[in-house]
Amino acid sequence: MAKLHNERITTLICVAAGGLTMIAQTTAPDQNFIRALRSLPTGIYYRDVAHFSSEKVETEFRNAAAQPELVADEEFMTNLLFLVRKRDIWTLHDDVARLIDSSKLKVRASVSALKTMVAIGDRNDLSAVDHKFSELLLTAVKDPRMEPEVLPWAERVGGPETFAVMGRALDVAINEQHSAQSANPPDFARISQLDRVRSSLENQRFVLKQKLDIDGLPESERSFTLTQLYMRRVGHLAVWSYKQLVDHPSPASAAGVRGFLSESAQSMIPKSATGEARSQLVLDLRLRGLCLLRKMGQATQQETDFIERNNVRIEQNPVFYDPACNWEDVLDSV
Amino acid sequence: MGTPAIAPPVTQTVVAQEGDTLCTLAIGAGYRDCLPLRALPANAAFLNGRLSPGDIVTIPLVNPSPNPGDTDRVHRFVRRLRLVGIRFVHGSPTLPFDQDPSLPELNISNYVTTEAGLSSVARPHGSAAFPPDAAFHQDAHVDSDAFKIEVLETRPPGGGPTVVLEAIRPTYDAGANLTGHTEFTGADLAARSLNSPTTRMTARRFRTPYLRLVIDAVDQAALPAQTLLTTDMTAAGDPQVEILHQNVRATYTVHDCPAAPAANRCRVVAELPVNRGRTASLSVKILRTVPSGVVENTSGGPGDNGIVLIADIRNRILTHVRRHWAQAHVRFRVLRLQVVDPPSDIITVADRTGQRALGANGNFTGPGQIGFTLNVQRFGGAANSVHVVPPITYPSPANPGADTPADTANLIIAAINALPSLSARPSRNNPEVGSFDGSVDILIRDALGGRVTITNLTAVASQDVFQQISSAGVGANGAGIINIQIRNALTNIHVGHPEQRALCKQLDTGDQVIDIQVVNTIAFRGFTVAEMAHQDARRRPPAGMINQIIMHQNSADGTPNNPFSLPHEIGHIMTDNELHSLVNTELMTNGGTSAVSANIHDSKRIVEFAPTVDNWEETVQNADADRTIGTQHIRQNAVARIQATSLDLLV
Repeated sequence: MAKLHNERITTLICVAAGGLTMIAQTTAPDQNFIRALRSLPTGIYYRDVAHFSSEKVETEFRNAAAQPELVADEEFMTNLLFLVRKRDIWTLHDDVARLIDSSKLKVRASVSALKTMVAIGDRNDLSAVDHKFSELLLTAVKDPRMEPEVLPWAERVGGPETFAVMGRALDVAINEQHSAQSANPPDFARISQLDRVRSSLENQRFVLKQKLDIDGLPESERSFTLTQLYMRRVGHLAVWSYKQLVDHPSPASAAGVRGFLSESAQSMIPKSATGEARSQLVLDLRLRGLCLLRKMGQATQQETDFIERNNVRIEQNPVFYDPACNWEDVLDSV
Repeated sequence: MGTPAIAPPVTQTVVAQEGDTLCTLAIGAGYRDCLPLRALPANAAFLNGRLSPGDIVTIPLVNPSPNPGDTDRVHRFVRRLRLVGIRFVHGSPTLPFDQDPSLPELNISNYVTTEAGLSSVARPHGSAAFPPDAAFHQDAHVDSDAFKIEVLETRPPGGGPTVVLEAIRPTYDAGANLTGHTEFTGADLAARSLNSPTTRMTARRFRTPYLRLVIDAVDQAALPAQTLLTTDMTAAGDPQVEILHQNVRATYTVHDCPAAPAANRCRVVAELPVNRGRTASLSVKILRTVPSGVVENTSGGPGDNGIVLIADIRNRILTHVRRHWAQAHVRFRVLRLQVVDPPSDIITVADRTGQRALGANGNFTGPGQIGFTLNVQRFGGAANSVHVVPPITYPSPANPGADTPADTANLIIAAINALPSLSARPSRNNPEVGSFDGSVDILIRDALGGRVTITNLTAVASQDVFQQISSAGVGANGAGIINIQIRNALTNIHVGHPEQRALCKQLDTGDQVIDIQVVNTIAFRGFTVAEMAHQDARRRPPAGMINQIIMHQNSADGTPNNPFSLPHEIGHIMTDNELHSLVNTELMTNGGTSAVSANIHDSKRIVEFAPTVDNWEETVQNADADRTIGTQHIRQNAVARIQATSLDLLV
């Protein structure tokens, strides 16, 4: 990884300098920028930092990375790294990678950095992220504070190595919960806490398993399954599937979407829906699917025309039909 | 015998009017000064030098003296008059000085202490220095809270009169009702008084420079010649003293009054109330991480073992909240301040989506099922209980069309209600933006006062593939940390995360009370859900979630850190706006409130004038009715907005 990153840095520097090697200059961080990022700019609070341009974020990121006391500031770095992935500032790829490799980030900031690498990195980065996260998780399962800091993000950034660690952790969690439940008198607070860890591991493994399985599928089948998950709208898998489809569109993935719409959409209608209600639900699913194809840049003229003819319906609930999920939805929403 | 002669009276009495002193009355009666009046026992009550309107003053008659002269000529006598007076004015650009209206009350300044003027892009709150002028100055004039003291003096000292300004302390009865006022003393008085010189405006009118009332020593130190400290007494051990219950007194001591000691010299006094404002009610619940069944109301009591101490957050309310909201004319009453156990877990059906059940589980091997265990921890000797609710198939095979979240919730509620001493009820949520329906929470109560936790909930893979069910609680993790997850996107801030709902719905004390829950950690220093009255009905929080603040312990503890966080969160409720001011010095800043209170440019102002540039961002219901929520930049007088939108919270 480190070698790869160094090569990329060289490339980036040459491109930026028009072929001339240059050394990045850092200056003292902007105190207003730092102050603004003392608060987590997620959700509605992204509005509070929206006025900082991506160039400003990039500059301040490099300034901050040169300041050991800021790098050690868990809250600030967590929030700064969020902003980098929210803006999809891929030009900071190597800077983020260096930070991860430096091991100078505190736990929450490390998790934030790994999330950012998922967002701005490529497929090669994912395995490194998985490896790093699995190490964090392995440490965390021995630390009861794991709940808020590491565990909730396992299926968001993890891969096969994380999945394996989660399996071992789940076995331990099941045993610990059984022991606690058998104790007399019972410690309900501890049982509850252990149950949260156990169920989180169990449910996240279920999700991560699906993601890993999907990654191993041929493209048309993969996009078919991603479409199915997106259409279900349940949990984080829905937005992850959307992002996968929209970020990596191809004629093959579009075929997968169309395949699902023609073959399986009917299977997603609740049994209680009959007659006109069923027809409306079928239409909803079709429009949601076609809007997805449009977002992928793969909609045919006929499909686009169909969307246009149903614009009134779409405008009644644009977030349902055409949700425009971003990295925050995929990596940070809870 | 002739008619006996009637002895002429040797004294007369007058009723003192506003501005009268023993000196002015004496001079008006023909004396040089007040000493002859002071010599009369009847005036003993006035020897302190201060007269109030209505006081009856006895004046000895002047002995007539012969004045030789012709009787057929006109003689002119000049009656010596001495006029003194004092009043509070704001001043005006056009009126003669004597026609400027007197102020009826004073207000805490909303400005950065040293700044004034109309707002601009560069310095949205103040574009000029606060002028030290006694004459009219437009930059100070725009701050309606700025004031001056005007002294009327017909025989002024050479350098002009000097005015003493001081804050006057409120007094209370046992029921905490305001009963009157008394002077601060000693160091408290020294910190809250100001000697201000005046400048001649006309032949007999003199004015101080523009002055401001400020609420902390930081502001006072920045401009000591033009500020009067009107602050609380919490640190001095008297937390009852309200800033908005204080008065401000201005005193001019007649410079040539010969009375001794000097403290007894004649003087004129004007005293005004600080705008009393209105009262908002707070209910504070501090969570403890280890449940004990105790609700502790007493600071230092055996159950005062919460995440922070009762005294910690009380002090924050009585200092920082009180100070920074005084400028917006708001006082606070703490209805309750308790340490409590974490509330019971809740069950949520179809969180986020509100979807109907499909009738198939995640593996498509059969219908979805939901089962769980209810653990009831009781206190005070009552036995604990554990209840296993076996898997329930949903939708019910007997009624497959009953597949809404409410239908599923009813199945679960029926199962819980069948258990001894337990009862459950549904609590519906509005839909998140993009969803057609809302989720349903199930709130569980133990008749014996136990705390219910939920374990062994059926795994997601075995639940309905569309309609998933989860439990949520606010219990501590293995390190004794209560962490609450937050949802704050435009699409879901009105619904919140299930952990927020578990906390707020169960500890709510009513939508007209500002509820504050203190936990160990959330992703922010504090987080607030306001009423959002300007949103469509489906985009507002339901009753029970309105006007709720969750505070991170770092913003609620006994340290001086994050002093503006709690006042800031209250500001979201008062302005009914989830978003922020664009100005760093505003309490509601979008730039993060200051970490400590140390500078006049800290984030502590609440703008009370119509700005000339956009200064705020607010959530807004988009023109598409209930479909989406947006944001917009606005120009906002925040105090005016508070008075318009939060009247239901203020009494």
